[in-house]
Amino acid sequence: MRMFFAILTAAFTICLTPAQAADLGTPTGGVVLTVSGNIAQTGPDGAAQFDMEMLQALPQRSFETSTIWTEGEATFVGVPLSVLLEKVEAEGATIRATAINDYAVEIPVGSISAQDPIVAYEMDGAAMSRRQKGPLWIVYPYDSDTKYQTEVIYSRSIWQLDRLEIVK
Amino acid sequence: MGDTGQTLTRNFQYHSRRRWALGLIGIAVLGALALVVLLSVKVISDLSDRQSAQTDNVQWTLTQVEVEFLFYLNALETGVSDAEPSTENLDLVRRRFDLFYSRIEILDTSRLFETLRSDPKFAEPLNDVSAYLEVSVPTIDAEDPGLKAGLPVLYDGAQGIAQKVRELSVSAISYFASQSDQRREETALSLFQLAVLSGGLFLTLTAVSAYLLVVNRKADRRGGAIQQANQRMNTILSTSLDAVIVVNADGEVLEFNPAAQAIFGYSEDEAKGRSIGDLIVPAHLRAAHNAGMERMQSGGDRHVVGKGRVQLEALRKNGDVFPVELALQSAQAGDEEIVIGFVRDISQSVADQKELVSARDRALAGEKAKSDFLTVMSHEIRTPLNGLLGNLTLLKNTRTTKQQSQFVRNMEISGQVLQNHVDAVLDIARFEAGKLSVAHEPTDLNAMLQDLVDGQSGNAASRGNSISWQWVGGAYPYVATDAQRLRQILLNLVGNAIKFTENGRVSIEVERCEPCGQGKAHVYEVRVIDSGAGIAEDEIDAIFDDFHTSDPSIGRTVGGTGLGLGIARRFAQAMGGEVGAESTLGEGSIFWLRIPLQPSARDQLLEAAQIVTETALPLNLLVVEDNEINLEVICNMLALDGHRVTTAENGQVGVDKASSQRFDAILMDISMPVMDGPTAARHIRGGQGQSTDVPIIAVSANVLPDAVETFRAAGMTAFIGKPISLSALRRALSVVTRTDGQISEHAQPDPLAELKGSLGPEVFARLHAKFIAEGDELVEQLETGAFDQTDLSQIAQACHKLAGSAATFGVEEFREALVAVETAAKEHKDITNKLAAVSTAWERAKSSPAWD
Repeated sequence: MRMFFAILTAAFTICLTPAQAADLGTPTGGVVLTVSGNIAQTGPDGAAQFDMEMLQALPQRSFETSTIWTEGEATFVGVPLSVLLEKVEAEGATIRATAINDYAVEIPVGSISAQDPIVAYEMDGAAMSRRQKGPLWIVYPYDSDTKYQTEVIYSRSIWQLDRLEIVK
Repeated sequence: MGDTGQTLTRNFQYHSRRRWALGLIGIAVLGALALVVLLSVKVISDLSDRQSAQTDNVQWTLTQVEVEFLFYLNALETGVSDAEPSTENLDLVRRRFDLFYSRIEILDTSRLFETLRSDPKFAEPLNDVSAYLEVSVPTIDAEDPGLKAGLPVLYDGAQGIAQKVRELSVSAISYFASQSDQRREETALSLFQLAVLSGGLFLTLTAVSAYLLVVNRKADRRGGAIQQANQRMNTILSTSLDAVIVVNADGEVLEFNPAAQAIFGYSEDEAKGRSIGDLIVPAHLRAAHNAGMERMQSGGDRHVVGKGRVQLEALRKNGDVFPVELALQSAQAGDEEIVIGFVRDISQSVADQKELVSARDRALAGEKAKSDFLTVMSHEIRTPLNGLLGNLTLLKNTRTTKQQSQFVRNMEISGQVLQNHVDAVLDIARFEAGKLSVAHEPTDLNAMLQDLVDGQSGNAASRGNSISWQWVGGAYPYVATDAQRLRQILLNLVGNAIKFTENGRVSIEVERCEPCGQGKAHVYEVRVIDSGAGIAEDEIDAIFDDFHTSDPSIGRTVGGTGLGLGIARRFAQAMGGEVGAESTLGEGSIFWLRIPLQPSARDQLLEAAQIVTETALPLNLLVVEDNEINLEVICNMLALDGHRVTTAENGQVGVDKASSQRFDAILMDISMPVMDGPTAARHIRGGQGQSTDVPIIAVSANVLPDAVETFRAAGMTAFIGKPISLSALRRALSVVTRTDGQISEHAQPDPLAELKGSLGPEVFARLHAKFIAEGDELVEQLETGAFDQTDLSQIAQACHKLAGSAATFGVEEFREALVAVETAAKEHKDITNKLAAVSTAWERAKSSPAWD
């Protein structure tokens, strides 16, 4: 009896997952971002994968700011991190962000506001190449507030981003 | 007010000093605070710089450059070593290149490395690396075959720049290390400055706190002092015996102390706020008060305020008006003027003063009554006494039996004693009235003392006493003094000694002591020494008191008024001397008199002696007297000397008789019915009758100097006190008739014989010889012109002196000649024609048989 219920529950769970994956959409181009960990919406590998098109389809936000790593001011366009987390129905306290070169940083969920930071995919109207810290870059509006001018914030501004993991 | 003003000024200076100090401290504190804020801002900004550091983790970035380079190099190596590299390998090379590229791009573009880029040590390798990257981009971006072909070239190039990449990181790291040091130092400096300033601020605040503490304590003390002063002031106000009232400029009462409440009858609540004018100013002064208030309010003159004490009248609640002493003073209370009034109720003292004045008036009236009483008494007692003694004198001159003569003598003695008592009382009255006059007449102490001893020897012998006198030291008998009073003093002392000595000895010693100072008179001491009972020590001071008799039992046996020593003391005082006594009980007493006496020339004595001894001639006299007995006494006495007497029973009759007939002199009683003596004298002097210029001799029992002065003012020439003695009568007549010269026509008695009789032949011969010598000298000088003729005053003086002696020796012609010269000399007339008369008269006088 007990075994029966366990099998039933497992079957139920397996049945449900593909249905929700359909909500998230399936990447058609190259995958630029993989979100894993404690999330409700997952793709085939237990992770949510996004291509650039999927990201661009999400609600976007843009702002102009200078950064300490670039020359002059630049206009960034991207999807707010909070929107992305909502999209994958993430449940956790910390986000572990990792770059192409395996640089990794932890961002507490509590520090994320509805708008900031964004996962930028466009800078000054153009997509960002890998050589230009692309294709994805977590950017804060540094000029708008001094709270965004700390080393912690700078360290969280991870470029060449390609992975997010939601940690409990 | 002056003090208060100074205090105010001081306070003001003090306050302004304190304001300055506080201002400076405030500025200092503010400045320090501003600096602290400034520095704090700087430190905070430094810290926030650290917080928001523009840096990111540069060291991480720089090491990452090298790491990425090594990954890239590694990927290339793998590609080169493989003869046919896979697509995956090529993609890895591309990715590693991109990552390395992005790292170098950061160094190339990031403002973090802006300053670093200007350092050639950094810029040069960066340029080399960038150049390699730019050159490599086409190869990397080529299709797989192109990249495959280009791999060796890329690998060689990468190996070529390996050293550059190394340099890049090293130079950057050393740069950032030094920059970090510098920033740390700057921050440390800021913190140090902040610490110093905070320390300074802390010290300043401590100082300010200490200062404020001191100021506060001072203010506390001052507050305490003010409170104390207030308390004192309240105590003064509440215990003051004077009313203290404070009013404002409108005259409304502000303060009304307990004394004011007691004096005026209003309670404090009743008085406060009311107009002072309605409250205490009586109706008749209210107009003046209101005018004064108006003047004060308009800043005009002040008649009472600040002008010291004023006597006014005030009004009580019950309507009484009473005298007050008032002092007003104005003061400034804040910006309002107030007036403080000190009011003293002087109704009691005014009443006391009135009482005192009336007491004084009563006392004066009493004194007058006493004086009047004495005057009357002396008259009332002396008049009948005069009658008694006069009749006794007459009785002696009648034929009496031996026994009757004895009785008469006894009566006469008793009468004399009674008269002495009356005289003693009168003397005391005179002394107390300050009317005791002291004469200065030439006196011979030898004669006086001898007379005294002679006079008292009988008295002394009756008590078994011997009596004697002597000089101690040299004899200086000639002095100027009041002989009668001196005699009285000595008589009293001697009489006293005899009285208290029985079967003993009374000796009198006279001694002239040295004067106590230059130009001062010699002090004569007369000691009356007896071997009597003596006086107890505690009685000595009392014996000179009036009515003192040392022992009632003795007093009764010896009798006496108890006034004798008192009189002696008073007379001695009046003459500038003193009396005293020393005694040992059972051994005897010494009574002494010390008195300053001026010496007297002997010829003055002669002149005096002549007056006394001159004999009166038979005269034609008028006696005005209402008392029949007295009239009879006087008439009989005058008849004894052979005078012719006309009588009148009152002043009016006397005036009538004097106008119808010329008399040589008139004897005039004072108190008489119809017309008194002085009035009659004025009538005689002022009338046209026969006797307008004859001497008038007042005869009165009233011998007080005042009375005598009145007689003189009425034109009377001389005065005889009652009871009249024959000798006094003779002396008065002789003086009167001599001075007016009326008697010159009568037969001249022999003055030389008189003089010889009274002086004794020896003294007379000596004085006479001296007179002749002086006369010869002067006449010779006048004849030979030894005198400076121009010095007339000297001549006048010499003539005057000799004329006095000439009168004494009875050479009238010579005297007249001398007087003529003297008069002429005094009037600055020619004297030469008068000199001959002097010489002639002198020759005639010397050849006179009377002088032999």
